[in-house]
Amino acid sequence: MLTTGLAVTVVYLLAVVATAAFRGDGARPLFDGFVPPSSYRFVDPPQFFAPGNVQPGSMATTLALGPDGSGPAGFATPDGQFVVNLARGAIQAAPGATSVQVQVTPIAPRHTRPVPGGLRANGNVYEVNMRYEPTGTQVTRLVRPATLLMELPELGNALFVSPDGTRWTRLRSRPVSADQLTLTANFTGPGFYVAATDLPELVVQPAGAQRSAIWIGIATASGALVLFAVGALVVVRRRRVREGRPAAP
Amino acid sequence: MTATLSPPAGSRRAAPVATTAVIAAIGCGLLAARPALVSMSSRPAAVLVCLFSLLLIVGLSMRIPPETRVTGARHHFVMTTALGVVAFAVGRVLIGGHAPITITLWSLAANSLAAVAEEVWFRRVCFGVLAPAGTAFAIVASSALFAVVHVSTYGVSVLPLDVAAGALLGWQRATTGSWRAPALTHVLANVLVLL
Repeated sequence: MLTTGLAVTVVYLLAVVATAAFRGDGARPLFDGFVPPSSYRFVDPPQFFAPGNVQPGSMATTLALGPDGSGPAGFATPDGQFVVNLARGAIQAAPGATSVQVQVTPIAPRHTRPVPGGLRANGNVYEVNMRYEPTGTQVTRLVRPATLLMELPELGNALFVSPDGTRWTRLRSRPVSADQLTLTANFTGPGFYVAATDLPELVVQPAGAQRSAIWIGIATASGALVLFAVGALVVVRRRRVREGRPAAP
Repeated sequence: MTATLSPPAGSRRAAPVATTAVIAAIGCGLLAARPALVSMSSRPAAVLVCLFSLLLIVGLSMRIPPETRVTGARHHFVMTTALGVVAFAVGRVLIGGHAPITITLWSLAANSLAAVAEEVWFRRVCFGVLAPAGTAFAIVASSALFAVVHVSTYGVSVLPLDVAAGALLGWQRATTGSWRAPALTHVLANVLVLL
């Protein structure tokens, strides 16, 4: 018994090694497909997350400016996927400016350059605009620390910023939630922010493949019936042999 | 292999065995057609929960040839489960990589449901139908079915791995005379993948 078990175990481990070498996508194979539903809201959801997707919200708010710049403040998109907390004086005062208009807009990653390093965007790109009012001058940088929290649809710990959506710079970031689906990093100022992951994209078969899955199902059921029939045939033959009758041709 | 199942005696049992075989085949077909079933709904997780719950309930309520009592069953259960879990743990270390999904209470519960339901289906129902033809045949055939139903979801590349995993789980079923050892092993194997 143990010998058989050990032999089967060795075969299994050889299959593991061969599969790891063959697949090469870094993802461990799961023995059942069960991906949790994502509550993440995509502007342009990948096909896998498209069913039931709700569009994310943008936000706009006005921050008052004093002689020392902005007060302690925070702003977030209505769905909480993009949250920024500003320390007192993070936005410096500017001549003639009494407030800062902040706008955060989620956009689809396909409207910006792909993130570098063989990674792929993990959720929406968030465009942050800050403009002094009433002068209309753009805020280009922050002078005091600010913190960013970004929700993610999938595992990944990379976060990028870009002034224009074309040249991405990686931020030092770390996950903060138990489910590893929230990243925090320093908020460096207006620009484009996007999380990234090295996970392979979750696969949804195209419509044709989904139709073919029905045929695969039918073929599998038919194959199973054939196997069961072969088993039954073996039983019948054995019984006939045991009873001394000639086996059926 | 110490556990084998008696072949059904007499034609009176032929009809129930044939019905069980047809139902078992339909269940395999449904598992293989998962991508199509999921694509028909806006709530794919709910579809999968329903499918696996259905397989679990039907699989447990179906009449199959009785599982053979194995001498020293508890000893066999502990030893074969331990060997299976160790094999999957070593496999987890060898394959490296990262988890395919986030580990949450939901993903643990859902994958455990799927694991138990699949073991009930393949190691209780399918194995039970195939066992009268011989233990080795039952292990090989149920492993092949187990692997084939995963192809539509994971692709052909995992076929050898799933055949081997199915053989290991099938060996546990044959050795302990019950589907519970492979079910426990399968649940723990999925947890190891998520960790």
